[in-house]
Amino acid sequence: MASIAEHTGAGFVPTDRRTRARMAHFGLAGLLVFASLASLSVGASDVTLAEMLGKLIQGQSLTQLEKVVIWDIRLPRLVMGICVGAALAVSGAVMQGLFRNPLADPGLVGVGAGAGLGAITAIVLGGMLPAVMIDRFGNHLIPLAAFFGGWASTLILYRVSTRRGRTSVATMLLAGIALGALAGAVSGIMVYKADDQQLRDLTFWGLGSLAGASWAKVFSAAPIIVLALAGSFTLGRGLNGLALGEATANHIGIPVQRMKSLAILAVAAATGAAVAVSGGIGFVGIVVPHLLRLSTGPDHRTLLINAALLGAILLIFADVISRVVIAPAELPIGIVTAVLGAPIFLWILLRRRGLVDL
Amino acid sequence: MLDARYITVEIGKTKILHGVSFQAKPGEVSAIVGPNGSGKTTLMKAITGELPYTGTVMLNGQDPTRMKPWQLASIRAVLPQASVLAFPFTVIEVVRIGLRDGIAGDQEHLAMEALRHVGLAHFANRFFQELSGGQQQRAQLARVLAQVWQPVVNNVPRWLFLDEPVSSLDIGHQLDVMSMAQDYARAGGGVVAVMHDLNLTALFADHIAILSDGVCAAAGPPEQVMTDVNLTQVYGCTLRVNVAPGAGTTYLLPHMAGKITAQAAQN
Repeated sequence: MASIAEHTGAGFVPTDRRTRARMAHFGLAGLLVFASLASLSVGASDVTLAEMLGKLIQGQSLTQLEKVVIWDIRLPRLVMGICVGAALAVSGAVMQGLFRNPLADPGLVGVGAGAGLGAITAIVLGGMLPAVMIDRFGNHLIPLAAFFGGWASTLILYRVSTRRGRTSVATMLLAGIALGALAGAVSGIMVYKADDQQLRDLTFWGLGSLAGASWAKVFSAAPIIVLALAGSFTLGRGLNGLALGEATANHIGIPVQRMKSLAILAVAAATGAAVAVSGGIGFVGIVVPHLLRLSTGPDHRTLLINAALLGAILLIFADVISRVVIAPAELPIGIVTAVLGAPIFLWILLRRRGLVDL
Repeated sequence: MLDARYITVEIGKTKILHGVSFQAKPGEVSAIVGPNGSGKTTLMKAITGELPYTGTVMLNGQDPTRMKPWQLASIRAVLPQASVLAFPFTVIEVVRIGLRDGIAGDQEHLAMEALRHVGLAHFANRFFQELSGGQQQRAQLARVLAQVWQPVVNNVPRWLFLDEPVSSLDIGHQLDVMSMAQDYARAGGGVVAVMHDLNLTALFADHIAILSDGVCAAAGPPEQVMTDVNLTQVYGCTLRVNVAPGAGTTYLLPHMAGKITAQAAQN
């Protein structure tokens, strides 16, 4: 009966995994500050943060250019990067907890595509709405539409792949492919209907980029993302319980149905808002939680917070890279995250091969 | 007191339970036995709210379906038949999952104490998935024990619902686990266990319900229920109940009368 581990001591984990996870909050927060400063210092123009701080300390006033570069270009971009990175990583972690599988990711299973369809529909058909509505909801229209697209696809996905509390991963991935294809097809029809200006918006948006960042976009997406993150952070114990199966989660006192609804809502809101302002940025949601689980364990109470921090850090660094590699032009950030993330994803698959049947 | 009445469960169009009533008292180990497919686990799942049923269930005089999940979780814990776990949690982390957030030091102490109880303290920091089947079962038992550690709180008994708690354990650990359940009951808590091993059941149960084809064939104290006639009828093979001399323990043996006759006929 005795397992091999019993004799060889394989699989021993240091007792202080929890302590490490809590320390990571501070370490990652510090790293986020550093990444933010780096992001504010780098860009197409040669304005640097150090220079400006020097000026400010000496009591000199900033030039108009410097003000514009920092305040209107780099700062909104930084804030958006933080929001989007945190949103993608946390919704990845929540979805993985909900589906009880480390391969679930909004980008992979069609939720991103659903949100994208919502956003595209809003871009193309938004003009048909009455002028009063456009005036009132103009800024929020695309994020809201993306949210509904993401919510509907998450719900469909969950319904299709979960039967009596058990989620079939194969069904989930296949349903995700089908949903993604369907959303893509309908998006194609929208693109076909779009006029020239809308096409330009769509192309720009579809590349996955923070380049279009503006305070208006930040204000439209950030509140939704902050709410979704706050909601997600309350799910820690519930998702831990869910790891033992739905029935057991219930037996240890977790209101499972309510928690699942909240999780689906939070994933849809965070993914929807992130996709609406930055397009399809992949792999953050799968790589960040995985790396954290490896280093600080799967306890969602600390994992979700660390995922928000590491997701933000990763996206800001990816954005910095996307701005320097082919400066003064920039790469779409989606390409950078894919180049970094896809190999890690493959590595995860290799590690799991033979261990767990998909 | 656990009082389940006229429990009927249908899965799809098949009726699994036909109006089964089952009572269990705190301070006793109550066992549900019966052949494969007789509805033991289904009854357990209905009582614990995992399956929809018609009929009534009252636990300590309250209707569990009207209680908040955390209220229910504070008076009863459920050990499932099969243990599942997503993500690489360690053994101690699994035990802690069942605890409500409280003072960290107390939780740590309680989780370790529960692991010590099932003899897994030295495995606390191993990955749960690396344990053998029997060890996983004991680790889950530790989680369940930790959840309702005190058998009585404010004069209200707490309950352990165990679905085949010893199914993958060796005989030593079977006895350990069953005595643990008995200790819990003796201290005032309630224990309801689905059991396969009739000898083990005879040894530890204070109250037995025998299910057969979705109905309760007999219920009561072991000496009344465990009879040659009852068991032979329900299990469809000849069983002989005996009492061990000295200890007075009830045990049973399968009677190979059929085979012997066949052999005799050949001779």
